[in-house]
Amino acid sequence: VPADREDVSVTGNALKLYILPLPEEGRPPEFTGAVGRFTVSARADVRALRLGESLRCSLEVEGEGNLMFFRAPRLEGFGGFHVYGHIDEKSDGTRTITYDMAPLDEAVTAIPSIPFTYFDPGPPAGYRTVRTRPIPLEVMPIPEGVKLTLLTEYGRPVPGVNDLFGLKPLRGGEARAERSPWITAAVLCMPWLLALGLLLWLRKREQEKSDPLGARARRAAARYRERAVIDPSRAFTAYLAARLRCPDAAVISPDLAYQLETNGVPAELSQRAAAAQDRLVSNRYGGGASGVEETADLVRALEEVFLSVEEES
Amino acid sequence: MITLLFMVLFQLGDAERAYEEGRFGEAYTLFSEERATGPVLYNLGNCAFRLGRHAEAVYLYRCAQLRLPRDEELAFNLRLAEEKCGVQEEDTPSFGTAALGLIDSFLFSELEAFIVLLECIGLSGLVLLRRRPAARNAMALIVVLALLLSARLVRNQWFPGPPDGVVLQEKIALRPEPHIDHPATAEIWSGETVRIEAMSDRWALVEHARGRGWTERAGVGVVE
Repeated sequence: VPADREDVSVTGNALKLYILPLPEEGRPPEFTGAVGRFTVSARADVRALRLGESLRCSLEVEGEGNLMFFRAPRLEGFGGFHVYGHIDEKSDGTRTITYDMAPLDEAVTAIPSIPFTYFDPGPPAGYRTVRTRPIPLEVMPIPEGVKLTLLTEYGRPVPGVNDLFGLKPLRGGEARAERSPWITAAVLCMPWLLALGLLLWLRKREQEKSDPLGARARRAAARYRERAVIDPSRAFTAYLAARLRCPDAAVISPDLAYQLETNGVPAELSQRAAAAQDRLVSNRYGGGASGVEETADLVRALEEVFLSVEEES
Repeated sequence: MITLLFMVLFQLGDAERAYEEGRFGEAYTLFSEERATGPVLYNLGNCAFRLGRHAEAVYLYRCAQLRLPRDEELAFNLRLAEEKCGVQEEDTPSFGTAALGLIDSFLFSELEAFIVLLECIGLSGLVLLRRRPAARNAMALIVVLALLLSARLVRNQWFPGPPDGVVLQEKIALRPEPHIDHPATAEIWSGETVRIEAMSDRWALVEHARGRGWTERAGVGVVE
């Protein structure tokens, strides 16, 4: 291995390339951009058909040039045929354009030769047109009583067949409105939130159904606040009954303080609640101050105790 | 009274009258003054077609198609204009492409409403029928469908792909760099649709089945 090796790169002389435009002079109207030297041939998938039926005629273009880049010949005004459209297939060295076409008359006896124009860079350079051989064809008449709407109407523009559909009324069209993606996100999330709410509500309902006394106890304070203004005595009794999970009548008894204590209420608070209960009952039947505010404070204190007991349990 | 109402509702405007009388250039000018709704763009496409400007007609029909995605008359006229330009019909799409095409054929608001409806049915069904396995599974499928559609909707709005463009000139040349001195690597013909990946004031980077490269922006109409 040589020790003094050195890699270098050298640049050759620049080559000038002149790209000439295709000459306008002598350019046939059917020229579709093919440049090179080409030969063409045609074949049909059927040799006999009934009027109104269509056939496939394949034009094969072979040769050297821009085979893949020119546009397919359109066959406009192709004698005696209506061309519906074409399929363009490209493979190495061959371009096959298959036309779907239908004869317009029983008198048609052949698919005429298809012209193909290309520019030959020469020498001598110039436009050349090559043609396929005509393909013999037998067109049979249509059976009695059958009417071919498209063929009878062919020759004049028919919207949806060979002509545009007409104008549209301008009323009712909406311009494209841009909307914030966040609004879309909110709209898409809305059903999920509603479903979550529905699930929580159903769970709560089921829980209440399975434990009616518990549900009654949990609602006791709220019910007390609703009723206290109307009848504080009965409201307080109902509250205590709900919290002790017993009928209302069971609360009006001398052992109320004991019942409260066994449910976790401190002795002092139990005594106060029992005294308040006695006083409210006396006031109800004997007249006197309602004691709503004092009882409300008492309910708040009791509620704190009951909630903490529930949490602990 | 009914006759008067009929006349008010169905009388032809100046643009429509000009079109019906074959004054397509005048009709084109009058339609251009309207707000760019789907029907207006469609009508402009018809005028351009009648004036022999087939590539422009393709462009206008494609713009209209964004607003009227399932209009069959529009699809036919577009195909006819493309045929006039020598654009060949696309190959049959794969199942996935066809499915995405079906989803995208709905207007944004339609798809959104459909998704919300599916979500409401699926989620409420999941909650209410959660103790019936068969019904629950069916509802779960509906929810999955709604999620897939939501993903497409969000993708279309949050991450829209590059817009399409239609070649308006007789042909455009694609170059490796945005400079006229660079040789053309491919040519795209009038009326063909390309995907525009980037744009500057003068140049657009476009992609087509025949190649990808820079071309002068004036030759391509952005479909929007």
